Amino acid sequence: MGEPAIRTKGLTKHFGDVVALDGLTLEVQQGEIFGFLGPNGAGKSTTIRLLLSLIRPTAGEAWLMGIPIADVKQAHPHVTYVPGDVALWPQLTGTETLDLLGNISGNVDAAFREELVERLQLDPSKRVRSYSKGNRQKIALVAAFMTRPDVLLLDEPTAGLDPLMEEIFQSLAREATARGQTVFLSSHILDEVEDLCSKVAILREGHLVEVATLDQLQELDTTIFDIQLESEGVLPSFDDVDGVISADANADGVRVTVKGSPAPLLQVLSTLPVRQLRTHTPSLEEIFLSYY
Amino acid sequence: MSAVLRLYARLTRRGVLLLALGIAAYVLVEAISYVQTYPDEASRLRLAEFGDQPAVRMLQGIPHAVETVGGFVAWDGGWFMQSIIGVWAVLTTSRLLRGEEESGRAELVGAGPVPASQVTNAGLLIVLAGCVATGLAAFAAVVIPSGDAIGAALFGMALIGFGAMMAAATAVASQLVATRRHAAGLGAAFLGVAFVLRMIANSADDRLWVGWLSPFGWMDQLRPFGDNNVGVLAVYVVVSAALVGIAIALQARRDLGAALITREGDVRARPLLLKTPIRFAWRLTWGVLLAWAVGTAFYSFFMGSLMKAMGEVLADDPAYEQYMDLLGLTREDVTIGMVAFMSVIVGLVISLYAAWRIGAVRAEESAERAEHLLTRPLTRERWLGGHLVLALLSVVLLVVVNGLATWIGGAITDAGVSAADAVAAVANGLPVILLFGGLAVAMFGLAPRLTIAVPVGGVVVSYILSFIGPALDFPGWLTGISPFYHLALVPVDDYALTQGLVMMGVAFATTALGVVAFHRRDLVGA
Repeated sequence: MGEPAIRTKGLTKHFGDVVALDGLTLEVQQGEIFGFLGPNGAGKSTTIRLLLSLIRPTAGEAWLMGIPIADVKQAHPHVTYVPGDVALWPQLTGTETLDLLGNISGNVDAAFREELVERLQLDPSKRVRSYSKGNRQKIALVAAFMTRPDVLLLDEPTAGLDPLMEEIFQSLAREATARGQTVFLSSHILDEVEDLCSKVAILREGHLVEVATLDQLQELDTTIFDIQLESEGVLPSFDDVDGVISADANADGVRVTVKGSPAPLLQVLSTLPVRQLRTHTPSLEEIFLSYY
Repeated sequence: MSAVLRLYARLTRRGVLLLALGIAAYVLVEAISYVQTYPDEASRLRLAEFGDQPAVRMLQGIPHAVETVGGFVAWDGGWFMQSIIGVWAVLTTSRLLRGEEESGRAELVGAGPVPASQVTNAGLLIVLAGCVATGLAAFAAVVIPSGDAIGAALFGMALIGFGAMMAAATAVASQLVATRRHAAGLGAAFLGVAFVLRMIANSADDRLWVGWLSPFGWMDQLRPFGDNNVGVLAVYVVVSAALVGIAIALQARRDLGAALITREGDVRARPLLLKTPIRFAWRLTWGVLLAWAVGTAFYSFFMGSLMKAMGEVLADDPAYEQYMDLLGLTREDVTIGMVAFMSVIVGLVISLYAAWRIGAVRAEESAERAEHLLTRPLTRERWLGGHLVLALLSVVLLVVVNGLATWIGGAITDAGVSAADAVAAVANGLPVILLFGGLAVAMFGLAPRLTIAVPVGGVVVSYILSFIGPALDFPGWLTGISPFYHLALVPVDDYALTQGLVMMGVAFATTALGVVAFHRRDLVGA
């Protein structure tokens, strides 16, 4: 497997008194699609901007493909970046923008660039000024993929794309990792992460709270019970039952989340007039919400 | 509506403050220099002779009431103050009425309960308020030395009227074209045409009627401090109101963000100047550089063509002769003495360009466009270094162009100033230009949001200090803060080599400081 694509050690960033990122230690292996989750302000963009040396760490270290991030000349040939809100030069056309960015990156495969433009249905002959947010994002995506970099750092790259283009983005990301490239995807679109990512990190208020594969997260012996009672039944409080971590009443009945053995809950249920009982493993969204 | 007004007031208040203070300072400098240079009645009356000098008439107008302080200020500086307030009105109006739409920010306002025509009204009201503040500042600055409240009031109102007129014209332009750049360009073109029309009007007595076609000409008709033709004020009001009416009618015919003249559709890609970051920086800047070169060369050419005439009138003036003695000038030196004086002003303008040029680098950063370059294999030092090389070459180009323009202006009026002397005179300002450029780079590294404000403030304050310091007998150390004060009168005297080298050393040090600070800091948005 070799060198990790991304490695950070105690990476920390303060903005004045605000701690945006606190001691992030993380490894992302080559060939992974790595999901980076967290609500707004959790430190996702801060992490990516640190990795790209757009901002300087308060403490800690990081490497891209084994190269210290501060060594821009050596590290940046390995990476590309797509920001969530793409600002470009309004007076250039799409083609001119791609030419410029390609010239500065070097190593552009012209045929692949054409293919990307075609697949993302981008019309590069217009001036950037007349592009919508989604079209500007497509330019940034083409520019990021066209050099076939080792690492793609994507900061909510699909916020302006329609579902069809989202689909195409996902296949581009999968093809890239099939070639051994690494995709670091910061997102709060959980479906996208669930469909795409093999491994996920969850960030909260600058702290890393979980790193796991999606399978591991879903197997974290958490089970969700959706319970409906017959009309004469009165719902008891489940809060003091062993293993129950949450119980929320909803229109049809109650949703109870259990960690560990469900036996104590089943014992309580056996005394109640249960009409329907469904269980499932939690979706990423449910896991995500359980962390906040 | 009031929320929009508050927003626009916030966006413009700093610019208004600078404008009003700048105009007031300019009026004071004019008044002080008048009292110093023309201390007695006889020398003041002689100023009327400039009415026979075509070049002076075309630039400054026919002298009226120049035996009074106020009349002199209006004649000598009126055209320039009108230009400043006009440029401000064009830039601010195009920003509020078109820039906000272009950036998409207007959609946030447009989605609220405020109709589009009211947003336009709010923008124009704010610009008008800025003009009124500036007019009041000019009134306050001129009423004290002149003691003529009516003249001062008319002068202030003429400035307000001129600014309002330019704002109204730019409001129409903002409906016609889709980008702020183009709207400001149309406004500036209108300003230029107005100025040329007034020059034509003042070139001969039988063409004076042409002046009514130009807002610049209206002040000539108003004659504050002299005839005080109050009725002329109605022209400003009627024409501005008509233009605002047209702007609002045009706005009703278009969508938000759209324009009446569009050139959408496919554009052929021009692969020019996209190969390296430095070449790309040239691509972004050459249009603006060209505009600065043409604008300043125009000014230098005119000043060049005025040198001889002004020199001759002044040389006959005994009071002025004393002043020249003080500076170590002889009668033969008077024309090249004028070159030396005027070149300092050109140096000031090029210093502003240098600050603006570094500000353009900051704009690339604050708009987050620089990130596309700096996340690629390009170090911050190389990116900034490329822009610094570009700024240096641009400044040298402007110096040479202005030197040659001065020379050509002098040559066609037989001023007898060589091209080498003219270029040397403008080049004399280079250490000062580099000093303020270096200050801009230091601010870019240390406090990026002040990249333009600090050096521009520095340029204006230092120039005024170098002027009023000696006149008001300030202590030497205070006047000596101004780098302008340390410039020799080239080409009459030799370069002040030591002072020049010190200034360039400081410029180099602050530039290095700025580069190092930029390397260490975070990129920051607007």
